[in-house]
Amino acid sequence: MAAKNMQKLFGNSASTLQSGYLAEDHLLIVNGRFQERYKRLKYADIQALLIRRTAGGKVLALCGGLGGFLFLIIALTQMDSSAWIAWGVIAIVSWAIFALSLYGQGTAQMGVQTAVQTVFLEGVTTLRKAEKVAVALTARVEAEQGRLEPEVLRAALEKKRVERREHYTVDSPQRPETPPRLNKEAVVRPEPPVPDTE
Amino acid sequence: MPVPNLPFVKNYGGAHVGANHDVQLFPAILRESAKVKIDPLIEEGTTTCFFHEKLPASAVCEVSGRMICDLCKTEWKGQTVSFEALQSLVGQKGKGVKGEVVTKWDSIALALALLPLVMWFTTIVTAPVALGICIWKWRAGPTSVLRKSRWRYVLAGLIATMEIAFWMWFLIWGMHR
Repeated sequence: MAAKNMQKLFGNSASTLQSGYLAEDHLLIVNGRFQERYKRLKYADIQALLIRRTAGGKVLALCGGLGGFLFLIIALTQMDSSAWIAWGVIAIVSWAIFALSLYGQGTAQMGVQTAVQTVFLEGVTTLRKAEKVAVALTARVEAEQGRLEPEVLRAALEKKRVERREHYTVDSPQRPETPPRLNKEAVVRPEPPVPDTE
Repeated sequence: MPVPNLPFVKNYGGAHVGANHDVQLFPAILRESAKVKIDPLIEEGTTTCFFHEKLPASAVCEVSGRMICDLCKTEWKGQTVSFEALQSLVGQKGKGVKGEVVTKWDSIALALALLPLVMWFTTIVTAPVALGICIWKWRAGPTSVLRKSRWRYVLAGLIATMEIAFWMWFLIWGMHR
């Protein structure tokens, strides 16, 4: 696959060596520095994009902001010695962390779901980046699959519900409605069709 | 979590999976496996396996929807799946099967030429290794699908050559003292 046909979607971050590229017909996910592992997800196979906000960004912003104030106060109390320089630098670093957290709009986790797997984009760590990636990827996927209209989705879901209801006759044993399972892996799945026992 | 009623929803799924998600759906989510519909085709014997073109299809993979032959067919948690889909399913939590893996020899050569300069005396070993990698792997071309040129090999080779030249001069100078 020629490199020139690929558009960079996201690059390496501070905590991961994963990057993503948009090719002509698939999303290429690259992991590693000296040994690259490739994962290709065809646009035609992508079922859903999932973005989950995480609390790490808020904690980081809080620590950065409070830490910046604290170190600034310490630096001001150390003005009569040269130690104020070191405290000042630490305060600036804390403020920089706070500013980066605000710029990134908090941390997030992003996943791309297909029929076979849900791939988490570890290189996407902030909400700002996740939304940018979602917009670019959505454009490619919709160019391949078309747009999913709300009416089509509702009609399909209603059809499945009707098929399940029609399966149960007066004589068949009633299966109680099972509540949705809490699943730590956020995978959006269509409800499986009821097997035909005839 | 169940499929939402709209193609794009925000803050969905908290009650099901314990955390809210922004979900963007595409038409592929509604794609059903054609298990029932292909039965007539299989009975006719006109369809072949997706992975083995010369073998007739006898089932449909319930994960990927592909038509598969008896060689490819296997069972996984009550579902009929192909080996390719099984590898992806198993790979989620277990070691599974490695995807496409490429060793970036040009990056390794460049790192071996540059990084040991921090402890310069180690270059007596790393420089010949870096040069050897450049010569050995040059014909293979760019090592990554994302790279268009071999400039890393050229740069690593030049730096390694200079380091070797330095060591040769150092040894000759030392012998003549």
